[in-house]
Amino acid sequence: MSKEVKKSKEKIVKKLTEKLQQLNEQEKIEEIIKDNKIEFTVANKKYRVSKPTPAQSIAIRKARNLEFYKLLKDPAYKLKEVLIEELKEAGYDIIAKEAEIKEIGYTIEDIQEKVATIPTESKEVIENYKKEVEELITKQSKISVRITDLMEFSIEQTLEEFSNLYLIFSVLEKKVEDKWTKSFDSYTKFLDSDEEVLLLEATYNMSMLVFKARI
Amino acid sequence: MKNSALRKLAYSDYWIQMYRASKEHSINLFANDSDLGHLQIVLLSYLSCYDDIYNSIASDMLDGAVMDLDRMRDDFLVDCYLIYKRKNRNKKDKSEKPKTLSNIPSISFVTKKRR
Repeated sequence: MSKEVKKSKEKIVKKLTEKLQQLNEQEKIEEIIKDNKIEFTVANKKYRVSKPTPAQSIAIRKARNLEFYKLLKDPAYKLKEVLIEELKEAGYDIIAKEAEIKEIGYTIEDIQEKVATIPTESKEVIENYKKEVEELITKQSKISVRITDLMEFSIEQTLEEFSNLYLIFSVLEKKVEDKWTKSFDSYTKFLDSDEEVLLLEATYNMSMLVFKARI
Repeated sequence: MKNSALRKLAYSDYWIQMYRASKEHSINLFANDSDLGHLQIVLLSYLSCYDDIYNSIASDMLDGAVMDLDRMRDDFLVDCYLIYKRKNRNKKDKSEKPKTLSNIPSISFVTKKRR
């Protein structure tokens, strides 16, 4: 993957996160939820993404497998387990950090269990617990982000990103004279595309259908 | 802590009524009746959750937790209630656990033989 593609991908992911955080429109979600297709407009052109058909899913899996074998032979990428071992030697224990995330989760649940029995009138007490939980969630997220950063060049993580991009390429369509056709002829053309807004919109809408975003 | 728009849908009168109708009369909630998208699956699980909370409030089966229609509008308080219910259920399950490992005859036999 070239540096340029990676940079633009990072930009897209960042913008996507911002956009997902802004999402709070009930009507928009209701519109998305009625079927598995989402239409959107970029520069006065109509586009849509949809949940992949079984045939598309097979093609995505095949592309993913091919990419896996390619990455396996590339010395720039390492398997998750190898990377975890090397990071431990370098002083960062991923397994311990993951256990810490889990432990914080248990603490949050203990607080939540307590709050469930507190009367609504005790607003201040509930608010204080709420703040405590928020701080713990932030702590969890910070550790999680650090782990994701460090694992970025693992084969598994790279493969996950490849699959997501390939999925968007596979299902992105544009409307030409009332007919839906594929937006890009090939994956290379899709990657080389400088239509950043289109890719951002497509990724964002796709995340509504299949990715696990917090909505 | 921001309340989720999807959860807001799940406790709305319209979606709760639609969900109940779909359970009783097999009405489709979505245009596609199979191969559900991620968002649809999440909405369904929230609907099931909120329907259960509505029923618990109506039948006063809150097991010591505090929950009402106002609290339902706060995602944090609903999460607290759900955790409380789950932990309570786990505690009950543990205290009601039978002494033998299983009621399957062969396993009961092995357990007795070891004693």
